[in-house]
Amino acid sequence: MTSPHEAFREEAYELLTDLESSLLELEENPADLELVGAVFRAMHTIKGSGAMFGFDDISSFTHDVETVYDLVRNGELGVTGELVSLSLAARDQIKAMLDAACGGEACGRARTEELRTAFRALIPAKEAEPATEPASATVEKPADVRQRTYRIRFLPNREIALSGTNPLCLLNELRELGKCQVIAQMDDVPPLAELDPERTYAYWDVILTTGEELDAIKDVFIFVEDDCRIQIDLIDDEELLGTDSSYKKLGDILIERGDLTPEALQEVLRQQKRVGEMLVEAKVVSPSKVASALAEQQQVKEIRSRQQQKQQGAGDAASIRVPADRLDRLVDLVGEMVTIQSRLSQTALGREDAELISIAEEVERLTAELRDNTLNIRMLPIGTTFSKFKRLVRDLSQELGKEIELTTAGADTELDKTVIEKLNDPLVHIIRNSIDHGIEAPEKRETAGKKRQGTIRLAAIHSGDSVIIEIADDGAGLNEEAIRRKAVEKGLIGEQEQLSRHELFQLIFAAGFSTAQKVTGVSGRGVGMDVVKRAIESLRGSIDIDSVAGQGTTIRVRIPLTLAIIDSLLVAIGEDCYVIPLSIVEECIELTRADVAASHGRNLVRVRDRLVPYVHLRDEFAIAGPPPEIEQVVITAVNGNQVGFVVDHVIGEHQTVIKSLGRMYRDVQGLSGATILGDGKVALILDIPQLIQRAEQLA
Amino acid sequence: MLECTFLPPSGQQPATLRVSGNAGIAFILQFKNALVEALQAHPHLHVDCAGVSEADFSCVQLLWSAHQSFPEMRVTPASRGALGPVILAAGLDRVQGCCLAEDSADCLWVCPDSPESLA
Repeated sequence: MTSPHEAFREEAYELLTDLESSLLELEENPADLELVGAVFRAMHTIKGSGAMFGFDDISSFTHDVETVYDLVRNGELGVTGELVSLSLAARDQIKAMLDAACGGEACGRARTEELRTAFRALIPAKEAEPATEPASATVEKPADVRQRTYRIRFLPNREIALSGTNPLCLLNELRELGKCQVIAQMDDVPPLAELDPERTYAYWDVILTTGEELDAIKDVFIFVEDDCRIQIDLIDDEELLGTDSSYKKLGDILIERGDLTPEALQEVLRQQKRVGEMLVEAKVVSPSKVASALAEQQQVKEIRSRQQQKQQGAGDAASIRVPADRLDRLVDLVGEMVTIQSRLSQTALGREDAELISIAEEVERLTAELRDNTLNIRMLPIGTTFSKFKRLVRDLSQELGKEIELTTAGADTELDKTVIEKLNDPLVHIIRNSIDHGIEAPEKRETAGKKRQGTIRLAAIHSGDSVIIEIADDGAGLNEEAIRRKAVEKGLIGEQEQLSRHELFQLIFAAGFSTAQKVTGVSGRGVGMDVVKRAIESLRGSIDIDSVAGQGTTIRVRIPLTLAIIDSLLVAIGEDCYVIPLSIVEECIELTRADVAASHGRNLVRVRDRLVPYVHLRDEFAIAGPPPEIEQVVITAVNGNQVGFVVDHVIGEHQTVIKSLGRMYRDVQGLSGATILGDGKVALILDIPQLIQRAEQLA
Repeated sequence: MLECTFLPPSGQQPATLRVSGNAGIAFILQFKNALVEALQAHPHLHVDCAGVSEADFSCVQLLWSAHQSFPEMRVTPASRGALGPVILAAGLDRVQGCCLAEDSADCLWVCPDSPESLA
């Protein structure tokens, strides 16, 4: 079970990420009321929950920021660039305080006080001259807010008080949202002799009429939702539900809540007394449950008689929050299932039993479906990463005195959660390089006849079983001559060596390669692009670069959708099996002794009109024994280059559940993992880019 | 810190458990043990909470459970003092005393400060 404190930290980090995006958007759309509301709500939730879980410093600091945004929300203060910058700094400070509370680096109190003073100073200054700032936009408060009534049943985890969470704080937060009736349900509280006083047996029914969105109610429970049962039902909406000022009968409400069965109601109704009275007398519901239902009936009647509207409707978000480690476990189990299914299929084929084969085929179909569905659950939109880069571009361009706009496309493109996490650092490197070396200073751009403001475009698009991420800038482009000079100086190429543009650009991925004239805090130390390439390749991806002098540079990163289970090609060399990711396989062709003889030891094979170099894996891995008369060449394509890999036999397609090789084999080149086959044997997964690199170095 | 002092009955005075200090989750086991011991000997116990400076829901829940098991038990000063805000926040306040109270005006759950009871 995740402790509420851990839950708070996790959720607070998520809220801070969303807060950053909202603030950056607010900078662009300062009059957007929804964005102001989102910032306020995030601050309010961090403040309230921080206090509830004992993060008093965070709560107290956030209170001042929230106060400012309350003024903005009420139209008493404008959104300015200064306010956004200050709020971003406050967001960073809250994160630092949270890191410190999690055992990270200590957080500077002086900075906290400095920001607190700055926020406090904003209040009187802006109140004195509201909305007259030229660069500010005052947010208008809506005249009439639509009221909805919700029934909330909050069943806390019995250990809630022991974990330091005060459930009454949550009820008080709900009270802040609107007209609220709280009814404690004490039926489950045991007699004194059996009571464990440290546990919470009560639960609560709340009838809340509010102008806030459903999310605002959910935010109240955001840190306890994993451990507590929370049911929120819309029971009245002035715009959507009926015009009738009457409301459901008491018995109907109790049945709807699950507190009473229709049969019990019918039985009691026969006695023709007042329903509540009869139900209590009949002991089918407790007086507090009747009181709670009556409160609902009364509040809705009251709201309805005040504001009569029409129609039926409204829905609730059908989503639940699941800890990431449970999903990882699920994927692991599905991986095991795929392995066992493979064994079952193999066994069924071996037995030649039609019925068993039929069952195995059905299991195979279901397993494939289960695999796809499970992997889909872990898919996240890459936009979560994109939004972080807006802040990076904003801050770095200001630091370097450049004007840069970041545009994004394909933010909805989904990738496995693990892949997205690991993609962050390489993309940061690439974008920092674009800002520092790619985009020119505004004056230089104007001289070159360009717009003062440069653009970095970040786009993601699905391509088969991969996603292509493109980072394009309209900066100065790569200097081919400078790259060549540096490569010669570093001994990477000979002085007279002729390289294509593509080959030349690939040199910037070499270790320690940098053409930057000066080392800045941002980049230019010659560490970066080689690290980026290695990181992308560790994700089984590839990276490619193209550039036109004066027009800009485009970097394309191709990343597989998932790292857990991949489609692959199973091949055999001698007694051993190997796995090649199917995404990079183009075709398979035969290699006869005559073909080998015709190439005069140059390891080249003719594929239609092209000569394709190949790596003889039997030689590469020093596998003893003679090769078969006719071998197979698996032609792969990496970074636009075709390379063949010679194996004894191609066995066929295979669903590969990737297993780590462990620390012992971490430095073994050419292998990126292992998998278990249906017969229990282990097959090694080939790291094709590394094998190509190794072959190039040896050539 | 929580202090529970048991005062035996004398003359017209019923047996009293005088509770003072922090009656929150940190000391709730101590409170329960004192309450159980006193109630087993004196079901008409008077629990004097005037000296309670801090309370939370665990305290109110304990009193609820005791009240259900020993309806003759009286708690003073009912819901005033540190218990009042907790009873209000928990939604346990009543306009009228519960069916277990002899004198409905003296019921633990009638909050003298709640808007309903003032109306």
